[in-house]
Amino acid sequence: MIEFDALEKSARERNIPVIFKEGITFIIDELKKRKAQSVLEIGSAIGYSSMMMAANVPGLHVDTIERNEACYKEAVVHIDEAHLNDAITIYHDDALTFDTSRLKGASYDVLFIDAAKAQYRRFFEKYIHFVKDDGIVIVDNLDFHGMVEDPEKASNRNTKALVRKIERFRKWIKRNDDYHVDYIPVGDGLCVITKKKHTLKLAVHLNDISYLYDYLQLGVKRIIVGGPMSAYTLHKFTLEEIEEMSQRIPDLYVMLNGLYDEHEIPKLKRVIDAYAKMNVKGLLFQDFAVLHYVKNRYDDLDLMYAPMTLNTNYKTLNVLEELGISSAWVAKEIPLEEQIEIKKHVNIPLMIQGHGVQYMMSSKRHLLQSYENAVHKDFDLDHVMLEARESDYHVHIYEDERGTTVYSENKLYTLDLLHDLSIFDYLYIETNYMSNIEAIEVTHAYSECLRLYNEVGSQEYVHRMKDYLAMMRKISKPLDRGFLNDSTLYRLEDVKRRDNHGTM
Amino acid sequence: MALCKRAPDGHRMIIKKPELLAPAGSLEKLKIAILYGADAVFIGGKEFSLRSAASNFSLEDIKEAVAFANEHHADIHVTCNIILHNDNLEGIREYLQALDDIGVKAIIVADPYIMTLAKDMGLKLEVHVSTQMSTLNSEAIHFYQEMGMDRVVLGRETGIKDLKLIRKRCPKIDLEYFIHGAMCIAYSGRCMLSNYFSRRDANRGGCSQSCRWYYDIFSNGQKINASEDDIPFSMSSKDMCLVHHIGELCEIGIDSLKIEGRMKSLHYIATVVSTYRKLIDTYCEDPDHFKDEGYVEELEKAANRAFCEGFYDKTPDDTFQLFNLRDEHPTQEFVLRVLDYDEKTGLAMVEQRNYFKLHDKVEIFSPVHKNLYFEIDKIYNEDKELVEKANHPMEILYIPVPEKVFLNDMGRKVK
Ligand code: SF4
Repeated sequence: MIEFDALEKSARERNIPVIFKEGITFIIDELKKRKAQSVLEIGSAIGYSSMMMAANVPGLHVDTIERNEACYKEAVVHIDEAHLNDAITIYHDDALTFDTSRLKGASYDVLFIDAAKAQYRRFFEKYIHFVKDDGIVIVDNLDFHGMVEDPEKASNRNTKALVRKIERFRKWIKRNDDYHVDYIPVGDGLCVITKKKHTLKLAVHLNDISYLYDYLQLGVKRIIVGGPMSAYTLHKFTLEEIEEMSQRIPDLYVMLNGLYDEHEIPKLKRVIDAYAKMNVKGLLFQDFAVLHYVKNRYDDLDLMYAPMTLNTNYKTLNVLEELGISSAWVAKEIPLEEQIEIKKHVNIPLMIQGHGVQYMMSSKRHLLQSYENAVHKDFDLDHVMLEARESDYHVHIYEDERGTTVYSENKLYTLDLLHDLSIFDYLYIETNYMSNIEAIEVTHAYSECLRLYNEVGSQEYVHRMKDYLAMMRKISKPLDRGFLNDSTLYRLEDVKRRDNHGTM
Repeated sequence: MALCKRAPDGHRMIIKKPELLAPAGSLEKLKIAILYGADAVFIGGKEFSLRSAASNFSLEDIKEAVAFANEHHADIHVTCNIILHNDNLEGIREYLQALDDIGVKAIIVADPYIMTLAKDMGLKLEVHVSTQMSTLNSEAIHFYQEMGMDRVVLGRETGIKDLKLIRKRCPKIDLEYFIHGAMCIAYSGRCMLSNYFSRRDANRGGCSQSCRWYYDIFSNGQKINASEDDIPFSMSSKDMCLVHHIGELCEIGIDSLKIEGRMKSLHYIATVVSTYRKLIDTYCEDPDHFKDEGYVEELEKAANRAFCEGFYDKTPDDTFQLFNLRDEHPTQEFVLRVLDYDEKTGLAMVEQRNYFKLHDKVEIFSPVHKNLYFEIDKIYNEDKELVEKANHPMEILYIPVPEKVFLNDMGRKVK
């Protein structure tokens, strides 16, 4: 191996941070193993690490960015002296504001971030797009000398803030299915983050435990279940059943998605405590009580913010991410274009509804019972539908101990839109008001189409999807597009204008 | 601040009175609300507010509102409570800055992005968490408290038992509670009926009130309201009125009592505000000898739906709901507003607000004196000529009134 020991020594003597020997040796081996051709490095310092990589990996090109002018100038001299100008392109710029269109080597096999730890997350988000699928990102150890585990160990305020920032980055990476993290115990430790190919995965609302394996076999990645205190579900499993499922499924989410009264809070906490002890991966929630309770208590419990109607812009989701949510369910009452716009501007995993009846309203009141009492009639409250006199849109309405919930009769479908939806992380199938057969058939159609789209190619998907769609039109009706192509009005002037046009 | 003290004669008094917060859909209504005793008035701006209708204020109007409120030691709260979509994101920062510069006391916000933005900008104004967030418990309130919020407007589903616990567990943040007005049947912010039925966005102020429509109802495919005479299904709540519980709310130290109705009439605002004003003042002056008499009758004069007590004691049942829209009745008619009174002649100068004629019986009500009943025995027009009836909107007239009345007193027809 070609080494630049004098350079390393001189850097250390001047307190310029350079990577330790075992670290760079590991990286060089990794690059060779991957037959890497290109590396992007954030933070060149005086050029030591880029020179080590370029000199020891045949055919490798290194692009490297350095903000500090003195370092940059010195690096240029060293690179020159080592005759590595052809193998290394060094930019003098702040990586956070750097114009990425100047990057010649994209996409890269490896991104090496060797710069301010506090900015890891921002560097990562900015440059990850220039890394190939299955490429890797190497960063310094995220276990900041044990302090990440326990921020209070850090002595001063700045360090504490830094530790917290790194900790958030670590959690975020861990929770994002697009990445896989390995800890490499060389020297102080390195993190190797593998960028997996992004795919849209299926999430199913499970209504019947006996079909669990069928769904898993169909390739459903995430199972979402109702339990004690859940809202918006026609089936609620017991804690025992959920415990049992959690042992069998790696990705089980439980709905803790009601709005809770003060007197329910002790019970809510007990239920959360129970889930935290199980292998439950996350909670769907809408009441910030859940977020507040879980946030500083149960690190491993993911929190998907699912208020049904409120997730309609990206800035709010970014604020909520800072406040502790780890993923979110985007409102379905906005056009697809806007949903995609949201996905482009947030960095947490997002779920969208792909199929099934659509949530419309919930009330704490028992509206059906009230009606029954008011008109002195007895009827079966479990299978009730309403037809508005001013609209031909029909709805399901049901009551449980949390109150009344209204769902559309029409089922949203997106089987033919997977290309547009593939930017999202989870596609949710709502099985409320579906028979088991219908739920399985529908899931099968989506899972096959997703497989075709992801693994075979979009032509094949488009071709075969038509058959599945025809089948679905028969078994899962009536279908509609919800708000995907449609926006709502809210200014009175606009409403008037529309209604006038309607009658003209 | 201590809640109570003893008066010199030994009787108990409540010194921490709750703020009485009233709605206003126009400058005129806002002024009346303040003159009739509101401690604070909430209004909607032209942008970022639900009820994106004519009832919203421009920045110029808000400036005037704040100036008027300041003169009368009242506060202005501005609602910025829409749930933002991507295309609503622009201009918020500038708008909040403008509100702060004008000197509004508080903004009422539903979207966490606006909450954080207002705090990050270091504005002087308070940030109140809107009822649209359906906040019902102390754990959620602590979350908002950590975000730096100044007040939480509780969800309408909060009952008195829970409210007491919440007050105890959240002593350091202002709590606002809804006492009077129309109610959504749904959890606020979680209703998309209007979006689905009418393609109008309820969370941005476009609600078409689909809940109050008539629905045919089917169980297992059988129509339940099968015959013509059967009452169809609907989801319409009676209006909330907690007139009998104001004392209890004062006792537990709720910071603000809210009246709903930015779209309501001048008459409604004057009647409701002045009734609660008198009630709160009388109660707090001597809570142990308070008599709950006459208040509800007064409120009914401005009501067009029957009253219920919402979730105060229990989850509402069928008696809290209107299954038949014929249950709605017109309010007593508001016919005149007093502009001046001449003690020598006993003539009041009034502005006509609705049709009235000779021999109508009228009741004058006021923030400063008791209600006054009399029959109109003469009407003079602006040129002091006798006329039979008042049928021109806003015309100036003179009528003899047996006792002294004041500017902004109002008259309603008694049936
Ligand atoms: S439809 Fe009714 S319940 Fe729903 S938001 Fe509108 S007023 Fe409220």
